Amino acid sequence: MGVIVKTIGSAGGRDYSTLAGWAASLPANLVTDGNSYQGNCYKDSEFTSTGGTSILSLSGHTTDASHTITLTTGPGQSFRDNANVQTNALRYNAANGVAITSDASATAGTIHIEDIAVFFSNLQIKSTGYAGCGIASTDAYVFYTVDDCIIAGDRLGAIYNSRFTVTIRNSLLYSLAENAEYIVHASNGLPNIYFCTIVAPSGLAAPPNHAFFAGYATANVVQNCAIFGCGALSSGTGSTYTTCMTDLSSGLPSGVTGSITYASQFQNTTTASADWREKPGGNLRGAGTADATSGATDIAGTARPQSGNWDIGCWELVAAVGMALTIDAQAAIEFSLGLSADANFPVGALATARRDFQNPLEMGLVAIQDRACPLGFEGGVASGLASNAEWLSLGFADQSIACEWIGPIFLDIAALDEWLLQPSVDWSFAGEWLGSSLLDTPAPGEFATSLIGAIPLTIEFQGQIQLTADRVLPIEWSVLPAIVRVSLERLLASPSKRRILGTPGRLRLLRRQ
Amino acid sequence: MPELLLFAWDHSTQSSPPPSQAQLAALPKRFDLITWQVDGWKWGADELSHPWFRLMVWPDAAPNELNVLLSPLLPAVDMNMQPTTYRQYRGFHIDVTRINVPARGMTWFSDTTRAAPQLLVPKGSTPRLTVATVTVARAPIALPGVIPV
Repeated sequence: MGVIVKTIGSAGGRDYSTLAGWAASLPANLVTDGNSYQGNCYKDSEFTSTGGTSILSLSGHTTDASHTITLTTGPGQSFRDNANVQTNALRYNAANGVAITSDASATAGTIHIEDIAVFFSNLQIKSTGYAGCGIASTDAYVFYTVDDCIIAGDRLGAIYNSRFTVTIRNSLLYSLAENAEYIVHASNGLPNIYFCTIVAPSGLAAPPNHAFFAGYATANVVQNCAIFGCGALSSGTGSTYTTCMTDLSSGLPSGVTGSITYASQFQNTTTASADWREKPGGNLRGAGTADATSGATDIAGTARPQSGNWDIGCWELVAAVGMALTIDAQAAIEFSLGLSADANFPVGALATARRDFQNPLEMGLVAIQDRACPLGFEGGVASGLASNAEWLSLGFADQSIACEWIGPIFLDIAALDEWLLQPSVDWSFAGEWLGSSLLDTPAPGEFATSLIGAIPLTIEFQGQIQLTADRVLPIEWSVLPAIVRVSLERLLASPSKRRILGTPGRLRLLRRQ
Repeated sequence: MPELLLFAWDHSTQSSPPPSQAQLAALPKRFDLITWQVDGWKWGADELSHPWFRLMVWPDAAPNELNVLLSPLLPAVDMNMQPTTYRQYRGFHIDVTRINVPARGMTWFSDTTRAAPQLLVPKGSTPRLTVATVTVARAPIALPGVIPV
């Protein structure tokens, strides 16, 4: 048994220039033929048909589990392969990768399918036909699987006349049409749907009547799905829902959490600028059920889970990695690299903070608008004048801020060399006070102590802190068993003390564990 | 100047094992229009060489008439909206014998070697040859045990 792979694209040099040509070349009986067939689409141009009929029809073929039909994308051709997949708006956009559209109306579907053992992946599919739909079937015994696709339908939704033998995973399914009937329609039990985002724009005057329509109550599974913008959840029963979320507030079965604020979950929910990437700080984050079988990667190719979070919907928020910002207390704070959408950073705050504010570091070094997010930091402060005695206040940090652990702390300038020699923090140890020439290890539970620093006093720090949503980062860290706060504000505010000069440092968002 | 990709394979007699009646209804049939594209379209290698296809260049063909040839034949339904006939791949097909040079057309169409890569239907023939002129409707195929309405 082999797989006959053909290329499909309009640039010349492909095996087929059209989807219809490729489909017509398939043998009637793949089982006796002995092969599976795979069409690899190329983004030479948008696959388009404007004759009012489906651009691709798959019907009449004999297949089985070992002799299948697959339509996917060639290497590097999918919207998932786009270099900007993490920042591109998540919606149908032919500029991002292979895209297939037609103006097929009503129940024809941009893709019409009646075969079994068919697999679609990595595609963007859209219907522009009057009351059209993305993938349609008749009442036949269809059996197909959709993975990692964007499917945009019209009034008949993204999927029409499917059934419980259909599987849809890690896909965005939506309709932009006013008065749409549903997003997913099934003649006999809904498809089994995992990690999908099933939505209509928030601004529709007449949103879809239902997200789902299911004829007959045949059992199926809807798991880890985000369902927003519809008038009701489902017409029909039979579905077992697990860790799904919706903005609907009533008539919800077990397994669906309602009354979730739509606008807080996605980057943009409007018709004109729709972008159904998950928004940091939303409820979808980490609210899903672990399922490595159906959700090992998200629609953008991001591995699940990230930082242990199984996000609901087709999008998995990427843990922030390797992004740095500069803390220079003598100037405005700025990032040395682009910061992810996880962080909201009020540039310039620390410039203001140079004044002797009572609590300058809480003016907003960085606020993480997300759930718990490890933040690595390193940097330093130093007293400005020689022969001056400075002091530090050590105390327990606010317990509402979960400081996980901290690396080394050095309190004299000589130790800076040692610090610099360390290529990285030993993340494996937690809260070990390394000691210094100036300060003894604080006793457990010690609330405050003081020290007289050598001249000049330099503090270098580096470590990791676990921020909670929308919290402003104070510079603080923990040592076992206590949590230590370096109260820089007291240094700054104390009239009897010298002004602290900030030394350049960096805040670095680390990969979530 | 539309270019037409026609289907030349007859699944009912040439595919082995022979497909069922239901499959035959769903599969492309001989003379069916698979797709059409504008003049100069960069057809794929298989579309140009696969023995199941033929490429016809037809300058006078009207797009809206060609689109009719792409429509499936939808099943007839009874009063309960239950189908009584099969859904077929296309509702219409081209009768090659009706083009200007019937003998040449059939010879070209029957040549599985595709020695002549494409057939050009002369532009401006008199009377002007339209798609509708050579279009033939496919007959419905009744579902087993169902009396067509």
